[in-house]
Amino acid sequence: MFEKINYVWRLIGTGIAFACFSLGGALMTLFVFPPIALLTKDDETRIRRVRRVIYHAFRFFVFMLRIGGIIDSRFHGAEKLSQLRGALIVANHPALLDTVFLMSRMPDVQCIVKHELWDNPYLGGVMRAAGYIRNDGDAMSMMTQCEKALAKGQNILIFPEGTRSVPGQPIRFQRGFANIATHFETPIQLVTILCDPPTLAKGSPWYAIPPRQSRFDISFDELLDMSGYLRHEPRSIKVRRLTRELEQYYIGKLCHE
Amino acid sequence: MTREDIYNKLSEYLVEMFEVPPEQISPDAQLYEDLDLDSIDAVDLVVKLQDLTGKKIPPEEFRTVRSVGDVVDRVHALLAA
Repeated sequence: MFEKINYVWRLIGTGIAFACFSLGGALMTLFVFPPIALLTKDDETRIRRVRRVIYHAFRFFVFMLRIGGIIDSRFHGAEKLSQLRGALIVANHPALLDTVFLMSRMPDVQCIVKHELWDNPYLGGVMRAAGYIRNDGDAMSMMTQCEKALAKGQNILIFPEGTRSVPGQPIRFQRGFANIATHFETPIQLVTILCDPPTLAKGSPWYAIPPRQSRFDISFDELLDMSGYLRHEPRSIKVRRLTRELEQYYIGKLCHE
Repeated sequence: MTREDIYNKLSEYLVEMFEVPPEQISPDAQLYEDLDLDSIDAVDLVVKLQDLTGKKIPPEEFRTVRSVGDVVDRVHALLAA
Protein backbone atom coordinates (compact mmCIF):
# COMPACT_ATOMS: atom_id res chain seq x y z
CA MET A 1 0.00 0.00 0.00
CA PHE A 2 2.70 2.46 1.02
CA GLU A 3 4.71 1.52 -2.03
CA LYS A 4 1.76 2.24 -4.29
CA ILE A 5 1.17 5.68 -2.75
CA ASN A 6 4.87 6.45 -2.96
CA TYR A 7 4.90 5.45 -6.62
CA VAL A 8 1.97 7.67 -7.48
CA TRP A 9 3.46 10.54 -5.51
CA ARG A 10 6.77 10.24 -7.33
CA LEU A 11 4.97 10.02 -10.67
CA ILE A 12 3.04 13.21 -9.98
CA GLY A 13 6.13 14.89 -8.57
CA THR A 14 8.18 13.95 -11.62
CA GLY A 15 5.50 15.39 -13.89
CA ILE A 16 5.42 18.63 -11.95
CA ALA A 17 9.21 18.79 -11.94
CA PHE A 18 9.34 18.36 -15.72
CA ALA A 19 6.73 21.05 -16.24
CA CYS A 20 8.50 23.44 -13.85
CA PHE A 21 11.80 22.84 -15.58
CA SER A 22 10.61 23.75 -19.07
CA LEU A 23 8.33 26.51 -17.86
CA GLY A 24 11.05 27.84 -15.60
CA GLY A 25 13.42 28.05 -18.56
CA ALA A 26 10.85 29.93 -20.64
CA LEU A 27 9.86 32.28 -17.81
CA MET A 28 13.47 33.13 -17.07
CA THR A 29 14.08 33.86 -20.73
CA LEU A 30 11.06 36.16 -20.77
CA PHE A 31 11.20 37.85 -17.40
CA VAL A 32 14.59 37.40 -15.75
CA PHE A 33 17.25 37.54 -18.45
CA PRO A 34 15.97 40.65 -20.29
CA PRO A 35 16.15 42.88 -17.20
CA ILE A 36 19.62 41.49 -16.46
CA ALA A 37 20.66 42.33 -20.01
CA LEU A 38 19.14 45.77 -19.65
CA LEU A 39 20.93 46.53 -16.42
CA THR A 40 24.28 45.00 -17.38
CA LYS A 41 26.24 46.69 -20.12
CA ASP A 42 29.26 44.46 -19.96
CA ASP A 43 28.69 41.13 -21.73
CA GLU A 44 30.92 39.15 -19.41
CA THR A 45 29.18 40.40 -16.30
CA ARG A 46 25.79 39.73 -17.86
CA ILE A 47 26.69 36.13 -18.63
CA ARG A 48 28.05 35.67 -15.14
CA ARG A 49 24.81 36.96 -13.65
CA VAL A 50 22.70 34.75 -15.89
CA ARG A 51 24.73 31.72 -14.87
CA ARG A 52 24.27 32.65 -11.25
CA VAL A 53 20.52 32.66 -11.71
CA ILE A 54 20.69 29.24 -13.36
CA TYR A 55 22.84 27.98 -10.50
CA HIS A 56 20.34 29.12 -7.86
CA ALA A 57 17.41 27.75 -9.84
CA PHE A 58 19.09 24.36 -10.17
CA ARG A 59 20.07 24.35 -6.52
CA PHE A 60 16.48 24.96 -5.55
CA PHE A 61 15.26 22.36 -8.05
CA VAL A 62 17.61 19.69 -6.70
CA PHE A 63 16.60 20.58 -3.14
CA MET A 64 12.90 20.24 -3.99
CA LEU A 65 13.41 16.87 -5.68
CA ARG A 66 15.19 15.71 -2.57
CA ILE A 67 12.87 16.95 0.16
CA GLY A 68 9.86 16.08 -1.98
CA GLY A 69 11.11 12.49 -2.01
CA ILE A 70 11.08 12.43 -5.82
CA ILE A 71 14.76 11.85 -6.47
CA ASP A 72 17.48 11.71 -3.86
CA SER A 73 20.98 13.01 -4.51
CA ARG A 74 24.29 12.94 -2.67
CA PHE A 75 27.48 14.75 -3.52
CA HIS A 76 30.90 13.39 -2.59
CA GLY A 77 33.96 15.61 -2.62
CA ALA A 78 32.12 18.61 -4.06
CA GLU A 79 34.23 20.86 -1.83
CA LYS A 80 37.03 20.34 -4.37
CA LEU A 81 35.13 22.67 -6.67
CA SER A 82 35.93 25.73 -4.61
CA GLN A 83 39.63 25.35 -5.48
CA LEU A 84 39.11 24.45 -9.09
CA ARG A 85 40.05 27.05 -11.75
CA GLY A 86 40.45 26.66 -15.47
CA ALA A 87 39.77 22.94 -15.41
CA LEU A 88 37.76 20.58 -17.52
CA ILE A 89 35.01 18.87 -15.55
CA VAL A 90 34.35 15.54 -17.19
CA ALA A 91 31.46 13.26 -16.24
CA ASN A 92 29.61 10.23 -17.46
CA HIS A 93 26.01 10.87 -18.45
CA PRO A 94 23.48 8.25 -17.32
CA ALA A 95 20.44 10.47 -16.87
CA LEU A 96 18.66 13.62 -17.96
CA LEU A 97 19.28 15.38 -14.67
CA ASP A 98 23.08 15.02 -14.57
CA THR A 99 23.67 18.54 -15.80
CA VAL A 100 21.24 19.93 -13.27
CA PHE A 101 22.94 18.16 -10.38
CA LEU A 102 26.41 19.22 -11.46
CA MET A 103 25.49 22.81 -12.21
CA SER A 104 23.71 23.12 -8.87
CA ARG A 105 27.22 23.12 -7.41
CA MET A 106 28.87 25.49 -9.91
CA PRO A 107 27.94 29.18 -9.85
CA ASP A 108 29.91 30.20 -12.95
CA VAL A 109 30.71 27.34 -15.25
CA GLN A 110 31.10 27.22 -19.01
CA CYS A 111 29.39 24.26 -20.56
CA ILE A 112 29.53 22.40 -23.84
CA VAL A 113 25.95 21.57 -24.69
CA LYS A 114 24.20 19.45 -27.27
CA HIS A 115 23.21 21.78 -30.12
CA GLU A 116 19.59 20.55 -30.19
CA LEU A 117 18.93 22.51 -27.00
CA TRP A 118 19.36 25.82 -28.85
CA ASP A 119 16.23 24.95 -30.84
CA ASN A 120 14.29 23.90 -27.76
CA PRO A 121 11.42 26.37 -27.30
CA TYR A 122 11.77 26.38 -23.51
CA LEU A 123 15.50 26.11 -23.02
CA GLY A 124 16.92 27.73 -26.16
CA GLY A 125 16.75 31.18 -24.57
CA VAL A 126 18.64 29.94 -21.54
CA MET A 127 21.43 28.54 -23.71
CA ARG A 128 21.82 31.84 -25.55
CA ALA A 129 21.66 34.00 -22.43
CA ALA A 130 24.23 31.90 -20.58
CA GLY A 131 26.69 31.93 -23.47
CA TYR A 132 27.26 28.20 -23.54
CA ILE A 133 29.22 26.45 -26.26
CA ARG A 134 27.41 24.41 -28.92
CA ASN A 135 28.78 20.97 -29.61
CA ASP A 136 28.08 20.98 -33.34
CA GLY A 137 30.39 23.77 -34.35
CA ASP A 138 33.69 23.33 -36.05
CA ALA A 139 36.28 21.74 -33.75
CA MET A 140 38.51 24.78 -34.17
CA SER A 141 35.91 27.34 -33.15
CA MET A 142 35.03 25.21 -30.14
CA MET A 143 38.69 25.33 -29.11
CA THR A 144 38.76 29.12 -29.38
CA GLN A 145 35.67 29.43 -27.19
CA CYS A 146 37.15 27.07 -24.63
CA GLU A 147 40.41 28.98 -24.63
CA LYS A 148 38.52 32.13 -23.70
CA ALA A 149 36.72 30.49 -20.79
CA LEU A 150 39.89 28.84 -19.48
CA ALA A 151 41.81 32.10 -19.69
CA LYS A 152 39.20 33.65 -17.41
CA GLY A 153 39.72 30.83 -14.95
CA GLN A 154 36.31 29.32 -15.63
CA ASN A 155 35.81 25.60 -15.54
CA ILE A 156 34.26 23.85 -18.50
CA LEU A 157 31.73 21.11 -17.99
CA ILE A 158 31.62 18.46 -20.68
CA PHE A 159 30.04 15.05 -21.08
CA PRO A 160 32.42 13.24 -23.43
CA GLU A 161 29.69 10.85 -24.52
CA GLY A 162 28.04 13.80 -26.26
CA THR A 163 24.62 12.64 -25.12
CA ARG A 164 23.19 10.33 -22.49
CA SER A 165 24.57 6.79 -22.27
CA VAL A 166 22.60 4.15 -24.07
CA PRO A 167 21.52 1.65 -21.39
CA GLY A 168 23.18 -1.72 -21.79
CA GLN A 169 25.84 -0.46 -24.16
CA PRO A 170 29.46 0.28 -23.25
CA ILE A 171 30.36 3.94 -22.87
CA ARG A 172 31.75 5.59 -26.01
CA PHE A 173 33.59 8.90 -25.71
CA GLN A 174 33.99 11.53 -28.39
CA ARG A 175 37.37 13.22 -28.65
CA GLY A 176 36.36 16.85 -28.07
CA PHE A 177 37.31 16.91 -24.39
CA ALA A 178 40.68 15.32 -25.14
CA ASN A 179 41.36 17.90 -27.84
CA ILE A 180 40.86 20.63 -25.27
CA ALA A 181 42.74 18.93 -22.43
CA THR A 182 45.83 18.03 -24.44
CA HIS A 183 46.02 21.29 -26.37
CA PHE A 184 45.72 23.63 -23.38
CA GLU A 185 47.11 21.15 -20.85
CA THR A 186 43.91 21.67 -18.92
CA PRO A 187 43.62 19.66 -15.72
CA ILE A 188 40.70 17.25 -15.76
CA GLN A 189 38.40 16.86 -12.78
CA LEU A 190 36.82 13.44 -13.05
CA VAL A 191 33.24 13.10 -11.89
CA THR A 192 31.37 9.84 -11.66
CA ILE A 193 27.59 9.85 -11.62
CA LEU A 194 25.79 6.76 -10.40
CA CYS A 195 22.06 6.51 -10.49
CA ASP A 196 20.30 3.67 -8.73
CA PRO A 197 17.79 2.49 -9.76
CA PRO A 198 18.25 3.94 -13.25
CA THR A 199 15.85 6.71 -14.17
CA LEU A 200 15.43 9.25 -16.97
CA ALA A 201 17.85 7.30 -19.12
CA LYS A 202 18.14 7.78 -22.84
CA GLY A 203 15.09 6.58 -24.70
CA SER A 204 12.80 6.32 -21.69
CA PRO A 205 9.91 8.77 -21.26
CA TRP A 206 9.60 10.88 -18.11
CA TYR A 207 6.72 8.81 -16.71
CA ALA A 208 8.66 5.54 -16.83
CA ILE A 209 9.80 5.97 -13.23
CA PRO A 210 11.46 3.13 -11.30
CA PRO A 211 9.57 1.08 -8.66
CA ARG A 212 11.52 2.71 -5.83
CA GLN A 213 13.03 6.15 -5.44
CA SER A 214 16.21 6.80 -7.42
CA ARG A 215 19.29 8.08 -5.77
CA PHE A 216 22.08 9.90 -7.56
CA ASP A 217 25.61 9.67 -6.18
CA ILE A 218 27.82 12.32 -7.69
CA SER A 219 31.48 11.85 -6.81
CA PHE A 220 34.25 14.30 -7.54
CA ASP A 221 37.16 11.91 -7.94
CA GLU A 222 40.72 12.50 -9.12
CA LEU A 223 42.07 15.65 -10.67
CA LEU A 224 44.29 14.70 -13.60
CA ASP A 225 47.27 16.90 -14.26
CA MET A 226 47.66 17.08 -18.02
CA SER A 227 50.92 18.98 -18.22
CA GLY A 228 53.45 16.78 -19.93
CA TYR A 229 50.94 14.04 -20.76
CA LEU A 230 52.63 11.69 -23.27
CA ARG A 231 55.06 14.50 -23.99
CA HIS A 232 56.80 12.76 -26.87
CA GLU A 233 53.77 11.60 -28.78
CA PRO A 234 52.15 13.62 -31.57
CA ARG A 235 49.03 15.58 -30.68
CA SER A 236 46.68 13.24 -32.54
CA ILE A 237 47.97 10.23 -30.62
CA LYS A 238 47.72 11.96 -27.23
CA VAL A 239 44.12 12.84 -27.93
CA ARG A 240 43.20 9.31 -28.92
CA ARG A 241 45.01 7.67 -26.03
CA LEU A 242 43.44 10.02 -23.50
CA THR A 243 39.98 9.40 -24.94
CA ARG A 244 40.47 5.65 -24.66
CA GLU A 245 42.02 5.81 -21.21
CA LEU A 246 39.11 7.73 -19.78
CA GLU A 247 36.61 5.53 -21.56
CA GLN A 248 38.23 2.57 -19.83
CA TYR A 249 38.32 4.43 -16.52
CA TYR A 250 34.57 5.02 -16.61
CA ILE A 251 33.76 1.54 -17.83
CA GLY A 252 35.71 0.25 -14.82
CA LYS A 253 34.06 2.68 -12.40
CA LEU A 254 30.58 1.81 -13.54
CA CYS A 255 30.92 -1.93 -13.37
CA HIS A 256 32.58 -2.05 -9.95
CA GLU A 257 30.11 0.08 -8.10
CA MET B 1 56.38 11.25 -56.79
CA THR B 2 53.77 8.99 -58.33
CA ARG B 3 50.18 8.71 -57.19
CA GLU B 4 51.03 5.41 -55.63
CA ASP B 5 53.91 6.89 -53.64
CA ILE B 6 51.59 9.56 -52.32
CA TYR B 7 48.92 7.01 -51.47
CA ASN B 8 51.40 4.84 -49.59
CA LYS B 9 52.81 7.77 -47.66
CA LEU B 10 49.33 8.99 -46.80
CA SER B 11 48.32 5.53 -45.59
CA GLU B 12 51.38 5.47 -43.41
CA TYR B 13 50.44 8.82 -41.86
CA LEU B 14 46.87 7.73 -41.27
CA VAL B 15 48.04 4.65 -39.40
CA GLU B 16 50.78 6.36 -37.42
CA MET B 17 49.14 9.64 -36.54
CA PHE B 18 45.48 8.76 -36.36
CA GLU B 19 45.54 5.10 -35.41
CA VAL B 20 43.47 4.15 -38.44
CA PRO B 21 43.40 0.38 -38.90
CA PRO B 22 45.27 -0.27 -42.20
CA GLU B 23 42.51 -2.47 -43.57
CA GLN B 24 40.08 0.46 -43.47
CA ILE B 25 42.18 2.57 -45.80
CA SER B 26 41.09 2.65 -49.43
CA PRO B 27 40.86 5.43 -52.03
CA ASP B 28 37.13 5.71 -51.36
CA ALA B 29 37.38 5.83 -47.57
CA GLN B 30 35.92 9.07 -46.21
CA LEU B 31 38.31 10.86 -43.87
CA TYR B 32 35.69 12.19 -41.49
CA GLU B 33 33.07 9.48 -41.55
CA ASP B 34 34.95 6.24 -42.16
CA LEU B 35 38.35 7.04 -40.70
CA ASP B 36 37.09 9.15 -37.80
CA LEU B 37 39.25 12.22 -38.35
CA ASP B 38 38.12 15.66 -37.22
CA SER B 39 38.95 19.13 -38.50
CA ILE B 40 41.89 19.50 -36.11
CA ASP B 41 43.29 16.21 -37.39
CA ALA B 42 42.93 17.56 -40.91
CA VAL B 43 45.16 20.49 -40.03
CA ASP B 44 47.79 18.11 -38.66
CA LEU B 45 47.58 16.09 -41.84
CA VAL B 46 48.02 19.17 -44.01
CA VAL B 47 51.13 20.12 -42.06
CA LYS B 48 52.51 16.64 -42.52
CA LEU B 49 51.79 16.72 -46.26
CA GLN B 50 53.50 20.07 -46.53
CA ASP B 51 56.60 18.56 -44.99
CA LEU B 52 56.41 15.71 -47.45
CA THR B 53 55.96 17.79 -50.58
CA GLY B 54 57.88 20.87 -49.52
CA LYS B 55 54.94 22.94 -50.84
CA LYS B 56 52.59 25.22 -49.01
CA ILE B 57 49.06 23.83 -48.99
CA PRO B 58 46.43 26.54 -48.56
CA PRO B 59 43.87 25.40 -45.98
CA GLU B 60 40.93 26.41 -48.16
CA GLU B 61 42.20 24.03 -50.81
CA PHE B 62 41.87 21.22 -48.33
CA ARG B 63 38.43 22.10 -47.09
CA THR B 64 36.61 20.28 -49.90
CA VAL B 65 38.68 17.16 -49.49
CA ARG B 66 36.54 14.24 -48.34
CA SER B 67 38.15 10.93 -49.24
CA VAL B 68 41.62 9.43 -49.22
CA GLY B 69 41.53 9.54 -53.03
CA ASP B 70 40.77 13.28 -52.92
CA VAL B 71 43.87 13.91 -50.82
CA VAL B 72 46.04 11.95 -53.26
CA ASP B 73 44.59 13.92 -56.21
CA ARG B 74 45.13 17.22 -54.47
CA VAL B 75 48.73 16.48 -53.52
CA HIS B 76 49.48 15.08 -56.95
CA ALA B 77 48.09 18.20 -58.66
CA LEU B 78 50.11 20.38 -56.32
CA LEU B 79 53.35 18.60 -57.16
CA ALA B 80 52.62 18.78 -60.88
CA ALA B 81 51.91 22.50 -60.73
